[in-house]
Amino acid sequence: MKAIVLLSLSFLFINCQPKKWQFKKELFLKDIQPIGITFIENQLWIADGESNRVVKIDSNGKIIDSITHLNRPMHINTDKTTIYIPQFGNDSILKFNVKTKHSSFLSTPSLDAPAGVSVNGNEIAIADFYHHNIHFYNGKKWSTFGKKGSKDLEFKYPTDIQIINNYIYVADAYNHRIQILSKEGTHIKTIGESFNMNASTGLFIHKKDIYITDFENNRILITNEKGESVQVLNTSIEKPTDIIIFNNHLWVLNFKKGSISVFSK
Amino acid sequence: MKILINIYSLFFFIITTSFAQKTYDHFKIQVDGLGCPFCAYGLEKKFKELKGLKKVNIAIESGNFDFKLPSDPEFSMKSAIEQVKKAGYTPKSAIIERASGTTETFPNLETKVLNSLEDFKTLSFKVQGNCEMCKARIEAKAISIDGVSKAKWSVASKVLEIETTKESLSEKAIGIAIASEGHSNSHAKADKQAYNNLPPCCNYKK
Repeated sequence: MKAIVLLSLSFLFINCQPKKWQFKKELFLKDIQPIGITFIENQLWIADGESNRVVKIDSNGKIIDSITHLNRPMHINTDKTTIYIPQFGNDSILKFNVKTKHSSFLSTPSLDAPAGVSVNGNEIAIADFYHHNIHFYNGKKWSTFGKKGSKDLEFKYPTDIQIINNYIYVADAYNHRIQILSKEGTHIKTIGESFNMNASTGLFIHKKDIYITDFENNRILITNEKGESVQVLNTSIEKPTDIIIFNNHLWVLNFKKGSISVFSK
Repeated sequence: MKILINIYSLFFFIITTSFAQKTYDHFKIQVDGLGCPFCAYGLEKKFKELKGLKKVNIAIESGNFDFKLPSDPEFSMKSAIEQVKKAGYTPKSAIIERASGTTETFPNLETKVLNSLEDFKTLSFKVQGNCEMCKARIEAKAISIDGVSKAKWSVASKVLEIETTKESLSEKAIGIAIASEGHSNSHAKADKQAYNNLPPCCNYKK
């Protein structure tokens, strides 16, 4: 009887543990060197920096549409109808409406190699690589936060950004960490400094967990909101640049290999 | 009359276009260690700031770095290589196709002939760095030193292994040379300006 109770308790305990991501498959993308990933209308779009385009792919990685003649597109993002494309090479953010196919430039402060953009309702945030700062639009006006350095609210080549609820998360790539700011530009928290990351180039926040691409270490770090490690992924990961959760799967871009590693729970 | 005007206009257009095409020197440089897109595309972007530069393009996979500059025989191969190095790249080889029709080449730094009759010694010490671009820069600098026949730096262990045929060549001398490129090591601290000039992915923690 005791054994049955113990077994039942063990079974319950094991099943109450959060499920871990397991490697499912790797999609090899033909002639694409992927840097940024996003989705709109239930379709994945990928920024191909080497070929200066953003492409729509199907579930097998085949290109089904493309936006061309860009200038080094980086970490892209979307609202309901529009893809926002930071163009690293010409200091601009291009907006492309997927329904009308019409494109226009977002009016922004002066940029020097924008590497990431995030859209949240009428709010926009931009990671400005060579200015070592971020720009935030609150629906009414732009503010600029940060400067070059390694202290709180200082950045070294920020490459990605995401607005979630009341906070702005910044991939502070060459300080090898993630910084969390308020929308007023105050420093809230720094994550990842103890993980010995080497170029934290991409990030994605999902249900309070923070997913980070550790580029030179060929791994994905997943932490909770306190910055504690939840899981480390390194199966089929090589020079990861961006990451997203889409249709309950984790999609990781492998820049050098030109592939996407897919994980499921 | 109209036909004559059109012929003259076409002739004039062809002449001016031909002139325009012949006034650019075409630089084709092979660079080493490109791996990080932000660094590679960023350096491409910075290079575009050079006056008169046309058609700059970098391909990360092949390491091919291509650009055109207004024809200027004074802008030598040496200047071109220095400019590329200053931007943070490590050139392996280069070709300049001058507008005049002549061609200049830059030798491949990796091809050093090892005299099998000479004795050699192996040295090793730690050099700070982060990535493949660091590897390319460290190894290129090491192998450019007189007497060094082989150089290999590991991204993982940070150890530089040197093969030298020169008995008098010390680790310290090599370390000082490498520090001048911005890489602190067991024997010397990095030159501050050189460190600050390193591209983003090479900014190791000091």
